[in-house]
Amino acid sequence: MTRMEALFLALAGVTIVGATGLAGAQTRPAPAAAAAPSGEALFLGKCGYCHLEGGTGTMMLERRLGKGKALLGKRTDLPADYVKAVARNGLNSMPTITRVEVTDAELDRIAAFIASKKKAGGK
Amino acid sequence: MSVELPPNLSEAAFARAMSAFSTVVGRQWVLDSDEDRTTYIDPYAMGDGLNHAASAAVAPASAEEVQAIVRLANEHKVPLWPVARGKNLGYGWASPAMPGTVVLDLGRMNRILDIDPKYGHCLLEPGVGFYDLYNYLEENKIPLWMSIPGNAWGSVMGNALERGLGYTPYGDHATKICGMEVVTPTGDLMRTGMGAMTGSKTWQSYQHGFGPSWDQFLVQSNFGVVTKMGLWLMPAPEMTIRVKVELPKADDIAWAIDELHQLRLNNVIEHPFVFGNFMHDAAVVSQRSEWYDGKGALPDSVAQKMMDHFGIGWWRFTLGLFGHEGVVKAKADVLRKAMEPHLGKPLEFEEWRRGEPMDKSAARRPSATALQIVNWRGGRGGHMGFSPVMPPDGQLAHKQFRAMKARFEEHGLDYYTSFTMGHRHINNVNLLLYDRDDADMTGRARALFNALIADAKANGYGEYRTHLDFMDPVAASFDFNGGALHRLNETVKDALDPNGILAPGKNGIWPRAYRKGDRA
Repeated sequence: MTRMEALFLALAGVTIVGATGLAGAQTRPAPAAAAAPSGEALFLGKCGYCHLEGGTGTMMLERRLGKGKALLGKRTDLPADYVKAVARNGLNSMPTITRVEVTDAELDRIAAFIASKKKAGGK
Repeated sequence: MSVELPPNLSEAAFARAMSAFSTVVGRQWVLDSDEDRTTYIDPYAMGDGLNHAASAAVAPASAEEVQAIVRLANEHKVPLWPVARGKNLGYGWASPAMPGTVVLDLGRMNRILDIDPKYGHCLLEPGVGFYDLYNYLEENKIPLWMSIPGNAWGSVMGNALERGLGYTPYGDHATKICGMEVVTPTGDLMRTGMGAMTGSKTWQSYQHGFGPSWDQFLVQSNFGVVTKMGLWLMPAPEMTIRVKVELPKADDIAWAIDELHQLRLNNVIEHPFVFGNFMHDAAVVSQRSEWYDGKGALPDSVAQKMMDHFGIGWWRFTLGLFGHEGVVKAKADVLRKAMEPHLGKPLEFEEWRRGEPMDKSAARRPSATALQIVNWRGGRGGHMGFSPVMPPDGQLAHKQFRAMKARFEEHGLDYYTSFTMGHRHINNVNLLLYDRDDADMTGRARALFNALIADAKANGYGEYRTHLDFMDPVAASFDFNGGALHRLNETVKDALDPNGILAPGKNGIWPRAYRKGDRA
């Protein structure tokens, strides 16, 4: 398992209420990920289903644009507005992402992360 | 983009309804921009998908908000289409059957409410995905295993409510449902099974309750909005064995299904599994243009080249054995005796024991890689499943395979199939892969789908699940005694949902308000 995958698996996007006992009998706060996660963390949690190593989005991008542009999390050539437009409108076989799945505020952070030229692994 | 409004509703009345919904969920969770509507269109439809365009979506955060929305929908006569995470891939995505319906998106309700390691069950809200539950079990080292479908992007609850399948002994997901909380079509809140008792200690332990049992009545139906669902989880086994089998010849299906049926019927193999043709894997790891760019279906000679290249058989399947070591090893012997004389070589078992890396086990991690099949033709690829239920008989399966393959070829589409083995049945899941922007191809795909419905009916087979486009004809194929089941469904629908608010047209069940011939 790669570091990216490990991070992805560690990012449960859900709120956990009770781990044992009867429903609702025990409560504990949501994990830290729920409190304003970074663009990178959101990318891993929301886009990681398809856009990590071996993912279906990575495979599609590699076929279309070559290996160098396959991993979305390492791209530095995509403007934030383009990323947002693709997420909401889909592209080729990539489906659309609703505002329930990724809010506008979250998409802003994800798009800023993808557009950033300074992220780890960027060229 | 013009807005498709619900039938019988003016623009002003629709705007008043959206405004009323806003008072419950807040303006930001009434999703009625053009961009929002676009996100709810089926991205894999045959064509543009606008025949199922939603007018808006509304996203409540609690059962109480669902109740309030449902009551307002009754008051304003606005139809609602509930979705859990809306990832019903190949069957319509989050789109409603009737254009103009408002999607009731439950994705914000995403709490894991309870997991009980001792009794092996959980209680979930609709928005909990397979990855979410898997991660939670792993991180907390809870010794329970999930059953995960081929594409794990979706909701655990939504998949079970559509009778989705996974590949562990708990893989027939609808049968593992135990207790629900439900908002009725008029906005009441009820709990099914033992949960109907206030303070019940066995809501997730006993499926049937007292008196009529209503859980299955809420599966593939439009009789309520499920806001919580209990689900049984499998105790982590001591050991598993996994074995991958390749069958080189297309006609091997006849003997194989007979042997595999005996193994399933006698509980040697206790899980559903995909008995799929070479396309299952070839369409993930390669594209059609790498092999063939001619017109018509993929020729057999090209298919053979693909199989030779990847070193795979015409048919492929993976079997698993789960449980205590002594039981697993005893079953492995039975498996060898059944399969090896046909194969002419030993089965190659991969063993896993508790504590070892899960990648070696007979269970799978969540993955969305299977979605790669939509890229088989490139461009805007689409897919749709045609999935009749048939008996697990070798000769019938052989006949079905030959007839289906001929039908696909007649319509110029590549034959992608699986004979997914249940306990006493086969879900014959066939995927139609097409380029959404090629009108000729989608036309042929639609003609093929209609031909397959008729063929299945003639054989006495009906679909277990279908895409929005075909819910009415598939429902009509269940026609015993002039469609007595359909009459009952609609009688119940009208009694429970007098305004026809919940999911009009779901699985062919139309409320009076929108029934053909009854529309005002």
